[in-house]
Amino acid sequence: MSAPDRRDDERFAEWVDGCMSGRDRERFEAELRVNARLRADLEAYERTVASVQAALRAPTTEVDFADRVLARLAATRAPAPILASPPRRPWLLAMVLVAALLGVMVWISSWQPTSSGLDVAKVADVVPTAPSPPASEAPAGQSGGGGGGDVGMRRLDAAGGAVPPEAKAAVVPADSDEAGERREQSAAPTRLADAAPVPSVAVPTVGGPDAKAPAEPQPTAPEAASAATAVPGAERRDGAPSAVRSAAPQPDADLEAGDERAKRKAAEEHLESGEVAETLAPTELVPEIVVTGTVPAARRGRGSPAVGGEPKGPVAGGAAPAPAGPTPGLPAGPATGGPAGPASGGPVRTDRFGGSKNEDRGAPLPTGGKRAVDLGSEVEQFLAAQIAAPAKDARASDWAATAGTLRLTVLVPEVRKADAGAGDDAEAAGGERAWLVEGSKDEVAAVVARLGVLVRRQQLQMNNGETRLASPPALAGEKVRDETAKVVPAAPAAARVRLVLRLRLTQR
Amino acid sequence: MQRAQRGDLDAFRTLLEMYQGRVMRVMVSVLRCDRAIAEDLCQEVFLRVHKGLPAFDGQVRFLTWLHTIAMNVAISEYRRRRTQKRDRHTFSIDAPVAGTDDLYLTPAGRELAPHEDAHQRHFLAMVRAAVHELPDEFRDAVVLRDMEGLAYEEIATVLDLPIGTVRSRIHRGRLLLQEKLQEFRP
Repeated sequence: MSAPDRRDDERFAEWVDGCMSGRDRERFEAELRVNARLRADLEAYERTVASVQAALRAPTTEVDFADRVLARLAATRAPAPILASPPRRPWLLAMVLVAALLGVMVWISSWQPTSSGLDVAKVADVVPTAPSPPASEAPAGQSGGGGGGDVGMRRLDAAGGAVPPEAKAAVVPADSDEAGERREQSAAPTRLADAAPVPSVAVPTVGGPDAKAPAEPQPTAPEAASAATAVPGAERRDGAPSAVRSAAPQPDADLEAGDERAKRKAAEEHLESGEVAETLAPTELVPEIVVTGTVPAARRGRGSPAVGGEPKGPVAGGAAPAPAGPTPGLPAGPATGGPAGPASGGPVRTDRFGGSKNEDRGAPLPTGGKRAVDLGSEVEQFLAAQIAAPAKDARASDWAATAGTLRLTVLVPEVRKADAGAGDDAEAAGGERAWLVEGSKDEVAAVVARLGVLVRRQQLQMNNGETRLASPPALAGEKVRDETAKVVPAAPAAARVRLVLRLRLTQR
Repeated sequence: MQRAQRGDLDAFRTLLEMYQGRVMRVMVSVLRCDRAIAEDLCQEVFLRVHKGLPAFDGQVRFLTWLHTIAMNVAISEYRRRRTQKRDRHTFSIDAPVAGTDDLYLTPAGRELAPHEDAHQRHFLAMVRAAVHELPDEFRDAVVLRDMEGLAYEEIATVLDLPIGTVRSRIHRGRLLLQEKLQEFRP
């Protein structure tokens, strides 16, 4: 094409697109009649436009994601947010993440491994002051709030039966911090809080030698619902009722003691009823995070993205139990007596994990916004990277300094089978993996925070809960419950936290 | 539309089904991403549409408004990619999967000789690839005009540009395509 002057060039576009005014069109047509070169250029231009339009408007394969969109809408439909702020302000996201991280850190720090079980007496004292959202508002794909089906785990209601799924709906006192956070979060379907923790009240069934049957009271159904929303571990705070965040009036100590005795008695009766499965002894309750969601079936078998072409360890992409022996690249941690062997994460990733907290800039998570990858391996990779990667970027204060004693252990497949209890999606059982994360409070909290970001970006759901694992050998810093079932804080310097990370993916 | 604005999910589903294909094509064309990513982004588009629908006042065509949202999502995604400095060899998030052009069907029932059909398909694929390789500002304008058929004024609304700039970008984008397609023209 020749180099027409600029006026002719843009008139081509107007001519082809029919945007010329009547007068301009007459003039242009007059020029075309006398200028052969102009005609040739215009014809070439028209052919190009025709080709482009044909290519871009060619028939496409059918797409249908209406159901998914509506499912997400249904999952995120909640009472109108009090705050009218738009969901995508970075500062708001940062505040939500910080609040979530603080909540997790508080929860972890107050967690008391106990053989006598959760102090449901305190949990059951919570009286919900806010109406429960309907069960349909539970995030799609949410499964059991975590902990369901775990060895020895059952949830109890007042009658000793399993807590109905509806009880797992978030019931948070209206004026609690958590309630406000949930309202904000409910307006943003892609926020971290889509996986707002809805922990189940997992009442240990039969404890070990230290188990005290009276410690397993029977919360009523509303109480169970409220307990399901109590911050996990909050009940373990020193003498405080479970709903630390609750705005409900706190019963005084005398009433609390009396209620506790009654509930212990009820728990005893329940235990004696034989409805509860025996657990392995000695065991302890460990906080658990369950990540659920769906991934495209076609891509699930890909395995994790290559880490510079290196093959993954035996755990990556699959659910094989960890091999014996230390994993290269991972720091040796204290031996655990639990069902899991030493951590095996394969080659440790060395890509960038030190990004900004600003998700919009793309925090360097392995998956970014893509769902169609092997999330289990990614979680494993980033967990492994958490272990190995130093805090290259000090800005990422939410996960820095994890190159400490953080340890990752794959839980054996038998745990997965036990998890596939009633009510679990059959596919979820097939796609489940679990890891035991151990480390300092800060390290585990950082892992949880990163996981939360990953979950959000992958549009999955994350729920807190509890699960029962065989108690490890006495670890420095283990918290001990005294006879009054009060939490005795351990020496903070040597405290190690254990957390089960469970991944349940379903294919679509 | 009115029912959808009032929160009728069935009505919104109807809207969704009417326009999901178009939005999908825009995403694929503008971002050159694979289908899975495009679907994710399309879902984001419609979630935003649902959120903003009650406030949609009809001052512009719904299609224009829809494209505005789609382009905003696409632009955000593109900017996010550009600021991410991660190893793209590790994850296939941004790099198109082999066969990105699989969104487009092979025309059925066309009575062309096999070699002609293959050449035509190849040419169209080259055109789409050439569109993908355009500079962002030109590609957006060309896609909205030549794929979606939006008027200059609508494109100006979607891209928040003066009409003159829109016209200029469309024209310059087409000229670039013309140069690139010289050797591929059947």
